[in-house]
Amino acid sequence: MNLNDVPRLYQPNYTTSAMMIIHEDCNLACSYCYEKKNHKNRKMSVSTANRSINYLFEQAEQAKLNNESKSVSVTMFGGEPTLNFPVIEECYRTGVFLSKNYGIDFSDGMITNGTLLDDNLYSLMEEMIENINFNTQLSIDGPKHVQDLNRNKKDGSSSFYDIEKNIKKYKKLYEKKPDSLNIHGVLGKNTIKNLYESFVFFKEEWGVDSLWFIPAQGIIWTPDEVKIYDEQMGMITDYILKKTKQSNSLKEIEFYAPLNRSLRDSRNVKPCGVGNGYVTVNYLGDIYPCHQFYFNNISFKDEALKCGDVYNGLDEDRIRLFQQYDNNDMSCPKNCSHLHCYRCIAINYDVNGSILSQDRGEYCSMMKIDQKYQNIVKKEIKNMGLLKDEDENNPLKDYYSKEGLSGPDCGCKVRGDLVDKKISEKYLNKKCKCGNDCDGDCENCEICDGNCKENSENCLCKESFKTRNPLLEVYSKKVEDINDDKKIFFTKSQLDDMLQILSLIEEKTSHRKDYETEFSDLFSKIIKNLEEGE
Amino acid sequence: MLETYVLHITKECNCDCKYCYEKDKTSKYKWEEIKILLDNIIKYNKEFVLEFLGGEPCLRFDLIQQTYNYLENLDVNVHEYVITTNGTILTEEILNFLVKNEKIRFSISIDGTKFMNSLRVFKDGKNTYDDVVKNIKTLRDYNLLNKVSVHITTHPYNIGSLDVGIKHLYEMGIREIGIGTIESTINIGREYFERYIFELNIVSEKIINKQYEGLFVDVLCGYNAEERKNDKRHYIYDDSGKKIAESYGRAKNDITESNKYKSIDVSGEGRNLIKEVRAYVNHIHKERLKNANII
Repeated sequence: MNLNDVPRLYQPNYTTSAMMIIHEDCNLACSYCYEKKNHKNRKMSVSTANRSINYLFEQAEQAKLNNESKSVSVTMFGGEPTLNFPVIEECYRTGVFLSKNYGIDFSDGMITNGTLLDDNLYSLMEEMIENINFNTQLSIDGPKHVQDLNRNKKDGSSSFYDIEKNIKKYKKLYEKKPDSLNIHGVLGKNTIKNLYESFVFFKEEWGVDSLWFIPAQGIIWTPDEVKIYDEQMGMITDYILKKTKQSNSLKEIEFYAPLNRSLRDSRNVKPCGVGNGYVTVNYLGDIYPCHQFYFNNISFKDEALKCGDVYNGLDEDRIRLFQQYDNNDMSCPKNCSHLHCYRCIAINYDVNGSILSQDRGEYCSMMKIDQKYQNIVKKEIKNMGLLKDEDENNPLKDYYSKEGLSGPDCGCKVRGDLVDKKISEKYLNKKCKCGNDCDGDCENCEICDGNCKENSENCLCKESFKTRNPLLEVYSKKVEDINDDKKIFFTKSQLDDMLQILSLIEEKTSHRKDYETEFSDLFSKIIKNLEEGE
Repeated sequence: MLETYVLHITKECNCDCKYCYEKDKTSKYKWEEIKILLDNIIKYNKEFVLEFLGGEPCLRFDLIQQTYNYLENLDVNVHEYVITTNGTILTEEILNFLVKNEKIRFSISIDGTKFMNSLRVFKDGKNTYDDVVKNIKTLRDYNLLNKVSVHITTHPYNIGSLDVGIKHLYEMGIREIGIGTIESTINIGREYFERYIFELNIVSEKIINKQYEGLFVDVLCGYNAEERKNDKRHYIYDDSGKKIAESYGRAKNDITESNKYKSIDVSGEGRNLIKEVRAYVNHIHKERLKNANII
């Protein structure tokens, strides 16, 4: 046997950017936090931080030897990173030292809740901002009554006053580089109606221009909430377009995510480039594709999601799926324009167990709303003469081609989007799962990414759902029994099963109506039956 | 070595695995068609193993039972009936059948941990992992795991965690694992083969160090490279052109020699390399066993 004749398939992929989870403890207890537990003892040591930074520079050096220019970029995250001051300092000092040694650019950033900024941290940050590209992302939701709804301290008290006190200091720190300070708000079910209000508050009360709001992930949005999002985004778009017209500058658009994407080249490769040169490092120095996979994995304990460590390097075979997949592998209808659809594949994994299976539902509608307003902005600024034809040079191209975390978003810029090979060729010409050609336009048939208008009877989707839930058939039969014999009752465990099925249905967007009707009938019969029995 | 006939009992499936090689996902077979095929098989060969494949064979469990009842009442010696299933369907009927009939075996496809199983999805895109694990636990509750084996399809996106996957399934109570390799739908390169050997070395060491007590991994423990070398897989098509069965050309007289069915040899170049790599890891494992004075 001689494997030397077998060709290699993959290009080397250099990991030079990392999100570092430097402390998992936090002083707040936000209602929508996906980090289920606070771990006080999960705190990165100075030596692990040192090794992590060294690893990233070693990778950048390797890239350089292979004629690929890469800079090193780090984002410190938690928990609450400001609770681990020694590591913040270590990352900075080692980064600057190695940057000079290797002749490789270094940028640093921090995502913090903004409540903790003591004198030590203040003077360190002063030095960092002076010397390197250091940006800060403050996670704040809005004015006090909005912030108080979801982002309170552990003891339940408001976190707002601490932030209000610190915001002046942050503004002073970033006086000369205001673009490197941005605010990231999370929209919960209870705060989505305050989106525009919070947007105006940050801009006009606090004078922070670089803003980004994102709907909380992993929760089920309702069509009514989506409608509110649409209205709120419309108001923001109007505000931004008005200011743009007045100033005759794209600055307003540039600093509001997601509308800033209307200025970028279309990203039609994949919804998220995580794993391509950008990874997450936890407190032990273990490498994960991204922080979401790490935090979810704490409960799932799937060892296969750990992709190496900073001591032995990235395990390429474990991160391959993240590097190789592209839009064609996603479960989305093939006629959906993926352009500008930035999605979280960790949520796909959380909800569907596969990064490729898009968590569709109302979240898709929300992305479509973003896209709608991006297109409106694009059209308007063209009319204003601020943006020339799409084929011509984007006036902000230089800005966005800058390495490092610039602009108010999740650092998409540093998440590469190179794709070497398709997962499988056959996936390109996908047909409807029922075997028919589809135009992907049918609202009723999302489950098979397609449409079988002409052959809907042959579509297996509905059957598939039933086969997955054999209980459905069992209970369907029982209901028939009820009709025949009023004396049959359901046990508690059977009812629990029913509720479980209902929750499964709740997760479905496809054929939801059919099942909802089927089950509300079924359920009301059972309840009635129980009432009669007792 | 016994011939194994692989019966495609239905082409329908409730899953749509990303790497599925099957093009025909709709053909159905009537009992009459299956009976004719069985009659033709036993005309040539009276001692064999029968595997039920699909599509998803458990969607037509009635045909499986019918086949079993038919053959058991004839003068033939079927050593084993293996139901190769995606593991998402386990009805009470199937459980009872497994409990009652000694010769039935269940071979479940699951590719390791949940992440490793990412490409095995239902038609709506959901990973089959949760459903399959639930069913494996049911089989465990019924004390049936001695009749269950698990089949892991390895490919470039899960090979890096093969030992992790085996450990995971072992801890679930699985004691028999088959390791397959993706055939035609995902390209594999040297990276895959190198990791395959690396991971199976870990497994081999763990078996020798008694960390996997009682575990049978086919390529290491039960793989007869010499016998398998001559295997030639044939697809057997009926008059209408539907693929209805497979065999390995192991028996001297075989249905594939008859004119009744069209038989196509599908052993290719790529398969030979996979066979060589399997033989290699098997050889290394045997050497280790000798050095450890286990055999």
